[in-house]
Amino acid sequence: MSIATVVPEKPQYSGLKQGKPKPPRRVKRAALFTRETTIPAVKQAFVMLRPDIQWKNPVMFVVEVGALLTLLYIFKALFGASESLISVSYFIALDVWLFLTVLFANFATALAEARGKAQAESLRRTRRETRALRLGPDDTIEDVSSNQLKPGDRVVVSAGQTIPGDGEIINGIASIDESAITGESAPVIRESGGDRSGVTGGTFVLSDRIVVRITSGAGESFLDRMIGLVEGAIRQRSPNEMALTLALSAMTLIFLIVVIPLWPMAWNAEQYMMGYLGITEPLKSLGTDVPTLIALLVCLIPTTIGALLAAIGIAGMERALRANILAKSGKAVEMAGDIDVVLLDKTGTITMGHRHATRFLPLGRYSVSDLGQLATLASVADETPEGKSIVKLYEEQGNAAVVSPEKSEFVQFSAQTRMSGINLPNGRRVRKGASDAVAKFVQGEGGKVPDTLKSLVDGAASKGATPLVVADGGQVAGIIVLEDILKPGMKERFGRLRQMGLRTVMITGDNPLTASTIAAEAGVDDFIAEATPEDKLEYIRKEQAEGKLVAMMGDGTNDAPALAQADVALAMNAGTQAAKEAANMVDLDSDPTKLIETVEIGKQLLITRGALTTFSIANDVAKYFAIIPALFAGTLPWLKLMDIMSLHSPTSAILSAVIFNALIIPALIPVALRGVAYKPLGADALLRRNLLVWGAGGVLLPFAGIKLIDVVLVGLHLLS
Amino acid sequence: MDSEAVTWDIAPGLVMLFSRFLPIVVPIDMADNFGGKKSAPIGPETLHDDTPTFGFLLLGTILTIGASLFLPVAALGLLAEHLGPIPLGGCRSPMDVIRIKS
Repeated sequence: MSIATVVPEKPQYSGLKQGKPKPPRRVKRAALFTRETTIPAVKQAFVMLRPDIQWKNPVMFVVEVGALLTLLYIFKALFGASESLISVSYFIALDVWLFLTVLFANFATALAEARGKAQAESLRRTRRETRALRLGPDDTIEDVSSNQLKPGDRVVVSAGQTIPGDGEIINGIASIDESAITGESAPVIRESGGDRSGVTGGTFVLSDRIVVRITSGAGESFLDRMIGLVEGAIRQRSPNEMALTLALSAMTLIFLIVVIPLWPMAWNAEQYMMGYLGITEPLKSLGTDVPTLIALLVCLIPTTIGALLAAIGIAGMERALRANILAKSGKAVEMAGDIDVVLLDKTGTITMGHRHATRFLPLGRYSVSDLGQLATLASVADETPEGKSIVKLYEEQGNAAVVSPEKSEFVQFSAQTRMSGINLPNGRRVRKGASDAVAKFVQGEGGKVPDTLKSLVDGAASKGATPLVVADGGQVAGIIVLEDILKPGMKERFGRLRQMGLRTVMITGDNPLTASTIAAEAGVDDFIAEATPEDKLEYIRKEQAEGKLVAMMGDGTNDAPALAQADVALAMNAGTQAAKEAANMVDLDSDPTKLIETVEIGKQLLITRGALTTFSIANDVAKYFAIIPALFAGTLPWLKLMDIMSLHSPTSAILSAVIFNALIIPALIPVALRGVAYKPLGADALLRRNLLVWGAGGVLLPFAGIKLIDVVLVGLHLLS
Repeated sequence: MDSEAVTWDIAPGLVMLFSRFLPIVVPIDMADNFGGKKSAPIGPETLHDDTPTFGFLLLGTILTIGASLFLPVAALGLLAEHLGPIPLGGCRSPMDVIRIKS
């Protein structure tokens, strides 16, 4: 009997529009601002003003220092020590907006963190305390709390009970509802031995009775540790993010060097003009006013990206989590965006992972429908996917549903007999099973096995199919061909991966001939036939040597070395512990085509970061046109020509620029958290598009924004 | 006076020397770092650097960042001199300046 997992069938194109099929979105969208995340985020925004925390964001730290310095100037002005001719209300307004800039930045980070934590918490909530039936050394059953379980304990879980902790089935087979973890309602089959023996605490046994050996103690189960890792990773910065932080800090330093000399230059201009005009009363310009120079600095340093950088990274992790992918590091999520090659296992990924009856091949005097009827009778009580598929195939061939006569006796499959079937009340004994087992049964019934059976069985087996022989008492009725069929919609999925620039490689244990047929049918680009773990590792190394980034999808223990070698390793939650340990991401839904979302999230993360950096720097152009003429209005009034926005006054110009600079941060929080939309257009088209939106938009938008704020300030009589 | 002249001759020389060669250490180090990286193979997701888009991006970045760095000083120097009456502009009398100011 094969080790089978029921791969839940998802509605492939639920949001089907006419003509153009839309791929399903499996990243659940959530409201950006909820009460649970916003209120703690606001509080956290103030906490993050603490210099030792704020320091971690150098760009915003500079803004904070500037805001504090401005505060000192306000005190100085209030106590009459200022020689400035500018009103103190201008300083106060300036300082309020400088602090708001820092607070908006902190809020963006705190909100992203709160959303990530809320998502992790909702996963953890599924892991509450349950009762466990622990097996003693002498097989006595003891009722304990799941919190008392230790690794190595054996527990019995029967239908209707919750599995008390992570473990491995050591005895039995059961169908399990993993919807608490995966959100998927269709049950999965787990059984002892092989790659599908892992069970997760908090999931629910629907049928049968299993003995589970607990592999982790309470609170330290794999999922607990994974969630802990994810929470830790949420706070960690990826190498890319650190590099960008460094670049932004360098830019901040350069702008500091640009702004500081403006003070002596402006002072010099004042002196020069006084001398030139031959006046003795002091000639003041905003250029020698320190708070105004701070405002200029804040407007020039890349505050927009500096404020949203952390939030973008955290939001990427959170989006992965929302798609039920636990990423162990932000680096893994980013790397997924750059993947060139992806290796997928055939079984359970490209194909359904379990065999379906596809044909009835009769023998002797039996017709196809005779054989089908017998096969169906023998499968009525067979709850395995194979058994159900036989009944389904028979009915699909246009036959009426078969009802087993009353008082029929069902013979369940067992590992000893390797057959299942039915004993009808009229004494007829129908069996289906492996060919040698059925042959023995036929001979036991006094029948003879026809010579043609062997060629039929071998013919089916050579094509990678599994033949099941059906016996009607002492006569062989024919064979049922079971095949592992392709999952629906795979070709579209692979097409989408190809559009995104990825090459798909199928790994299979089949012979090269069968493998190439399936590869062509599924639309993958390449395949590795008769693959051993070494072959997979070798393939990954070869691709990596060419400079490619390789993603590997796996669930078995024999996948672990390849998973460890791959740049992005996505393990299925249904897989073995070893696979999950070796991977850097775990898909809780055990859906290998989730790779599409993983890659999209990674690409979105990288694109969003690039787009907002471009936007932030492009913003500087307009700010100069607002601030420079304002700075020297007192000394070099002819620079008014630069003031193409014709702003109301020097102070309103500077205030408007600072307010725009602050407001753009909360305005872009949705973009940072949801990510810039990704479309598989190819890198060049994508760059052109984003350059137009974020580059050109970044140059033009502040002109309109600053002018608008200026008009509003004047309109509300907030400025003289 | 003579010794002062020598100081004034040497000092700007040193400024030019240091300001040219010290900051270039960082870009050279960066170039070295980039040079040591693996080159990615060309594929459909490769960003081509021989397209007008890329040229626009590169030139735009250089111009925007360059302008951000030098605009304040350029405004005080070049722009002010070009637009204004002093010291090289055709200012006829101090009264003109006062008229512009008001």
